[in-house]
Amino acid sequence: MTARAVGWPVLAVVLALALTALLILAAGKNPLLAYAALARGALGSWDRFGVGLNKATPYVLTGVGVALCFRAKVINIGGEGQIALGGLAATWMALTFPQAPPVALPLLALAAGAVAGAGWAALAAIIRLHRHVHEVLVTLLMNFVGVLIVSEALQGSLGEPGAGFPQSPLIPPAAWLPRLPGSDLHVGILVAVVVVVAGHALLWHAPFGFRLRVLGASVPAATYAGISEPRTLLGVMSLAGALAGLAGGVEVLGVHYRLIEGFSTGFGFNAVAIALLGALNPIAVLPAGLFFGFLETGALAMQRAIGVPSSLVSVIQGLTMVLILAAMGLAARRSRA
Amino acid sequence: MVADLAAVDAAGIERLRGVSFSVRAGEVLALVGVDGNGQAELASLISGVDRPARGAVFVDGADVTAGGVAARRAARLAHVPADRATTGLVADMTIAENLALRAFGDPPLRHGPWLDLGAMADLARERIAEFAIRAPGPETAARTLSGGNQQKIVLARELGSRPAVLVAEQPTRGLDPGATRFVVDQVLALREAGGAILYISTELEEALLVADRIGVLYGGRLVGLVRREDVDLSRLGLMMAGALEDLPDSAALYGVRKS
Repeated sequence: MTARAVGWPVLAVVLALALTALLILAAGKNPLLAYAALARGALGSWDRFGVGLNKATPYVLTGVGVALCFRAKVINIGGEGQIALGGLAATWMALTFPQAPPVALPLLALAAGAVAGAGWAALAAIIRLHRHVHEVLVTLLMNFVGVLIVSEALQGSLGEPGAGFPQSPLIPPAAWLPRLPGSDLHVGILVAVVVVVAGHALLWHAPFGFRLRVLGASVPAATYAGISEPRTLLGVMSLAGALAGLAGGVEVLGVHYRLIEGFSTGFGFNAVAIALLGALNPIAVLPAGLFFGFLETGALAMQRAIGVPSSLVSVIQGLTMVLILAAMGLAARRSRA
Repeated sequence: MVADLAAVDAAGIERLRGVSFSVRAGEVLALVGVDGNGQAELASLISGVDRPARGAVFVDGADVTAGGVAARRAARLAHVPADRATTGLVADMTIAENLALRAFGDPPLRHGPWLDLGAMADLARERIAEFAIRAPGPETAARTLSGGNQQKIVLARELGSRPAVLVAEQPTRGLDPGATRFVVDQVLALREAGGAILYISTELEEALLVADRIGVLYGGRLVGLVRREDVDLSRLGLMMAGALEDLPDSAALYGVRKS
């Protein structure tokens, strides 16, 4: 990893914060105080810190999968649907087999989530391969279908009778992810760290990662090297889907303890932003995901303390994204020249 | 080595219309012709990148047609593709990675489920020295090298493992005289070592320099096949223009069947 590869995202974040500071200034508030409140809200106590880690967990899990896909120039933006269905499958497993052994139940539920996410993504890959519809379209449109399937389940068999809101009954406590005593922090972040390390190993130290990188750099070179484009595409999509599905399961079993309509709205798209912010390096996806997580947990604190709207955080996220993409565009143009 | 190969492109146009010939161990067969007369299709069929519409490819008597690139590699068939910028090399990857481009999945470069990055770097250092690649080291990105040094990486990868068969497509295109000489010397060294070489070129002089026999492709067919010592330049030129055919009648003499 070169210094420049790290430099761009950091520069983008700093510039985004600076530009947002101008907005805060224009609103007649002190940006430094606002950012201080944001930081206090995100990192001011162990409790807040834990909430930030929980927030970042599904982002990081999904982001690693997206980064691997993008390395192969497989533009998988289907995280939304894959996460939603992962959450659905995990909930179904936990509600259907409550009598399973206590340690096995969360594992089974997470596995179900991963399988569902992988299946959903593999379906997109198969449509791409056999019907030649570009994966951007397929994955994007399948998001809506995936989210609607979750709604359908919550309106029907999986819904909590008389809840008045599309949500499932509470899942049995045996299926809940273990938490750090006295806080909301669950073990999901450890899973995310393991996935980050595994993703790094896969990308840089395994033949599969080598295939991804060659395919992403040049399809003719991949063909020449005997790398099968269909198999690699199917493989990386399934893997990314599994990680997104796992993220959905972790969110249900670790945070809400039930499936709630819209529980993961925006997660999949944030994961794309985080993968790009992490320069498609699984290791760097971790800080990028934490950055997004902490921004979101600090947002309300900033609003309370300074009176600037919490949605400014979305502005920071969006500006970071725009600047990253601009930097990538510039870099691509320079390398072509 | 090649029997009755035919290829149809995506637009349904026949690019290769029944080409048959063989190359013996320790021999260079140069295929000349104006670019676009089926050279690229022929090379991609022999090297396993594409599947033929009909016909078969044999290496050492074994039919490798169905197996794709993997079967060619197993049969020790090496391939120097025409376009080193997008096919032969991955410009953004390092020299070590480019040298492993086709062998990364096999031992010794793969160790259990993992790539052996140490072995890749060792191999790269060895090849950099052996093929006189001018580069700071194995971790240098291929894109930073000159065209000649890039082609040396391709040659080092394909010839370093002493292949039984080499398909070289325009291996000197765009190279300076020194690098061209290097490529030709490497090809001749492989011939001395007993390799069978199919040398596809649009440069007639270069073909005459390396070849034991010269074949002419025109309109997707082999229209001429002559021994180096029997070459008549004006007749060769007529064949390249499609105005003359000169194929030996005896299949036994040249190992060729008229198509």
